[in-house]
Amino acid sequence: MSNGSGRPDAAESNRSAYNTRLIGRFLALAGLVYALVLIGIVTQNGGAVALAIPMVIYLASNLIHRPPEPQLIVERTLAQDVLKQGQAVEVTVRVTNEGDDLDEVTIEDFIPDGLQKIDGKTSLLTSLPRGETAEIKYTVRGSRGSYFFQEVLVSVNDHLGILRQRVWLPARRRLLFVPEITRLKRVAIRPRRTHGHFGPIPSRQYGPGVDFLGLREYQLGDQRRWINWRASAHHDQRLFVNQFEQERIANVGIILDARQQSNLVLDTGESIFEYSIQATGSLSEALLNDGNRVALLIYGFGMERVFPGYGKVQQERILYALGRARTGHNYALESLGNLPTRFFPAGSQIVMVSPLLNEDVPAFTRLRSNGYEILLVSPDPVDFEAQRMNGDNQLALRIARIERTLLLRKLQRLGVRILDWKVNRPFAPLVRATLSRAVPGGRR
Amino acid sequence: MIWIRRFFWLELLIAAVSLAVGYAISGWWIASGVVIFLGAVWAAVRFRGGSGLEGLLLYLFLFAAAAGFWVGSPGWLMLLTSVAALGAWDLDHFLQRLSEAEDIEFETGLGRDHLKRLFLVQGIGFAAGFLALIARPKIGFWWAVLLVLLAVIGLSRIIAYVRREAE
Repeated sequence: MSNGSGRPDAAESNRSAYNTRLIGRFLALAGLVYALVLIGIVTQNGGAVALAIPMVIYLASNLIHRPPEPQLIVERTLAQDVLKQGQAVEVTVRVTNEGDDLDEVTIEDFIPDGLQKIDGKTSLLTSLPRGETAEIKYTVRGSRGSYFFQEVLVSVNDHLGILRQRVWLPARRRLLFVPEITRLKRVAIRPRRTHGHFGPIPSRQYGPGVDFLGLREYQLGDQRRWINWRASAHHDQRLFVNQFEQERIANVGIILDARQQSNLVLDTGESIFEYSIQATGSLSEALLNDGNRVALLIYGFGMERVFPGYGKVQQERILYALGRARTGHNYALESLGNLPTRFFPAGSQIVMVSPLLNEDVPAFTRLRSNGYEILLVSPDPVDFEAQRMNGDNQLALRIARIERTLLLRKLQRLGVRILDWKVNRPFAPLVRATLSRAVPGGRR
Repeated sequence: MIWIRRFFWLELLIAAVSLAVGYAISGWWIASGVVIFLGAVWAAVRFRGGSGLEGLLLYLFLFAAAAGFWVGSPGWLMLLTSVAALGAWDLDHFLQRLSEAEDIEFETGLGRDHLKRLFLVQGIGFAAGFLALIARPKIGFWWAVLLVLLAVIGLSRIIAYVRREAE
């Protein structure tokens, strides 16, 4: 989960064009020549001066054959720009010399922080004649996140390594590791309002459908197979027909809680936010597969939005957003009370994915009073932390569990549907058990 | 890489042995021992992959060679020390650069060309130094003053350059 680059900060000053540097070796040798000449003069002994002659020739040879100004083109290619977390990707950097022959060239690439090199080489020492191309290849793997490859450092030395030109050549590419998601069969929701198109969500309106909704008296044009003979038998000379509930698609807004204060990171570096990401990805996929119109709001450091949409393209958009998502702190967004409710159509289904804080209850009250159906998917932070605790803190753990149970009960009383996820258990079976059937009336 | 390493050891051996023999010829046995010790130190540093001492060791070898003239050691042996120590110093640095890179393309002629150029420079340097030793031109007082002045001006320019670089 990194957004940084691997480029060392100390090198920032070298960002500008090619700069020739006399490296320390030149100065050391020049100093030695001077010292020998001075010794020769002071001691009136020509031998010491003669000793300096090979060094003078060495230095002169370097100055005469100083490296030409390099004209290099760098190209970076990634086998894939977007891939699932944990997958490996091959990075190739090609440097082509379009100028004069270069005797000694060092090409160094820097891996962004958070990526792990699993194969290949990131630096190469070679000579590069005019028109030739040098190539370095390596394979990296990373956890979920967005990673930026920046410049490549190319150092060109003269033929004896006394003069050096260094340059940072831009070869920027972004690599995105999207979260691994669990496939869910069906997530049953029942928002107050549905969209105009046919879908899997009961719309509380009469029309063509499968589920029985009510009875009405027979009218001209009704199909004979709709007649409810049992109900009609109770009445004299009157026929009744079954009415069905239309099934439509729904507007679903998923809110991912990315606030720093609601996140929990263990000593091992494991973060509960990653479970929230996994849940969000899985739910969004299931809801989109059902044909719903799904939007995403990541609420934390800022508010990143994926506007409502359908289908696989929307799923990709959501996955990309989840790949980039990271927790952050913003004083203006400390409370869920500042959620931009207008982002989601009135009466739509909101899926909130959050470990939950005690002070979040009023926000749920407001959302409910605005007419939203709410499904809360909450990775359990108490259970998450308890996995790593020894037996000393049993009392504290018990209190924390009681507090959480009370918090969830409060939300239940508000009409919020809750999926309390103990993260050490798999997500899919829990969803199957809890969310595969819609609660009649949208309440529980 | 193996060849470069071998040439480094050869250069170091020549530098240390020629200096030690030079001192031994003039009867300075203890100095010979010290020179062999310095050579062993350089070898040990290189063997352990260390760096940073080669500059100091080059200075010590060259000053010792200059002192060799003073105690009457053969000039050509001192010159040979100077040339070989320069070669060892250069190859030491080259080996360090090679070890810093994760991948090296020797097939492009990288090592071979370096050795070729180094040997050429060493050959010319030794020949020129040897000629200077044979010719032994006499430097008069005013020439000496001029040389000292040039040396002082050159030194001040180097110091100014180093300061500029540091800024």
